[in-house]
Amino acid sequence: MADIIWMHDGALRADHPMFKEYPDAKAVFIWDDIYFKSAEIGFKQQVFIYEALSHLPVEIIKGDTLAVLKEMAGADGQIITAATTAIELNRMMAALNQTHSVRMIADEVFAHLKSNPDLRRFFRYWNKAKSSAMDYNGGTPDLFGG
Amino acid sequence: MEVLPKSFADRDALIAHVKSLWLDAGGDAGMTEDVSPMEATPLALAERLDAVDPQGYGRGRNFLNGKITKLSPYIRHGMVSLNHVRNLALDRVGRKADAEKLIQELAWRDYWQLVRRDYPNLIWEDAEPYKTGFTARDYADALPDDIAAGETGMAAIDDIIAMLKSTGYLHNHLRMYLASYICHWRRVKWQAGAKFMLHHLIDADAASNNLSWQWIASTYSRKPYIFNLENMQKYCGDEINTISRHNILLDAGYDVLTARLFPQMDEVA
Repeated sequence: MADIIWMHDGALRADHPMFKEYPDAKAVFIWDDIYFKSAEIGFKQQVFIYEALSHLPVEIIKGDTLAVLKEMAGADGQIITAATTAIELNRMMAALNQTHSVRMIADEVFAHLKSNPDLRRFFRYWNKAKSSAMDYNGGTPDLFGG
Repeated sequence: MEVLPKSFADRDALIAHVKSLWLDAGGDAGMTEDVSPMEATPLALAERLDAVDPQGYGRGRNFLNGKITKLSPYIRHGMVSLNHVRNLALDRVGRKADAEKLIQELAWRDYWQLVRRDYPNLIWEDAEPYKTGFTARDYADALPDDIAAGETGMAAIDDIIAMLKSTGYLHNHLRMYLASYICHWRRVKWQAGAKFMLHHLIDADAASNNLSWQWIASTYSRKPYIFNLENMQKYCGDEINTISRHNILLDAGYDVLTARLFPQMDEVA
């Protein structure tokens, strides 16, 4: 079976890096009511998502996310998706990973962080992110910590 | 597998289709009365990007009629990357510093995403105790009906709730006022208010939304955020009814409000 791009509601654009890496993979969005409910996605937001999808190279399939993706990917297909921090999406990605190869592709970098910031307060993060965030494409990563 | 249609005669037909999906799934019909005028089309996004004005944003972002970007629904859904918006902002200024305020606000989104990545339990659990002199047990679990209905009797708050429900979008300052009113004037748990807002916002994102509610509540900040009517009058213009006699509970100085809302706060400070 072929590789499948699973487009989710955090990556609704055709030039996301996952499309650049897998230009020939078929893209699907699963219209999954149970997922929407678990993620607290209301009616107005669903309209917004559907409208965005109607302009994208993606097939919209109604159903249970895991069941649909497993069926489409078959035994050997790889599932490619956009990396996210959303809890419900990550839970589904972990479940898929039990039976399939799942590749999570990160979006373009906003800021390279010099080291793990203390996330308890924004300005402790900002002090470490600022020089990178204020540069085009986040500047050059500080690979050697120099 | 049921493949859903992507082509519709017009926007109303698309909305009707989503409404039927929503109702089939057992969704509340009352939630379908309004849809946002903000469209998720490439053209609408291009217009918003064209309008980005980093210097204007820096000067007036706290005002309802300030040059805010209204890009949050597009960023939330990955229709445009933070990187793209940052690069655009840098293109439009002579000095990088003139884009700093806008880029810093983009960074808030990046920051909340990192917090959720590292501490996913904080999306619904208190990060820290309330610093209000009260404990979490002193706050109501459920959102009162008059708030859900937008009939609190405080005209400004009712205007904000009506705007949230009819447009699915609120200026950041209005989100802060509403969250503060719910947490501190009504002593309702931030989780109940956060859920109410998630259900109506078109840019609803549990990280940005819920963690910002924690910031207002003081469970993820050093002190509770409060406002008063004078502050609303300064920033809201004519869109929100800020007439004093229609907003009695909001109309006081900060010292008076602090004493009224947090009578036990000194004991814990």
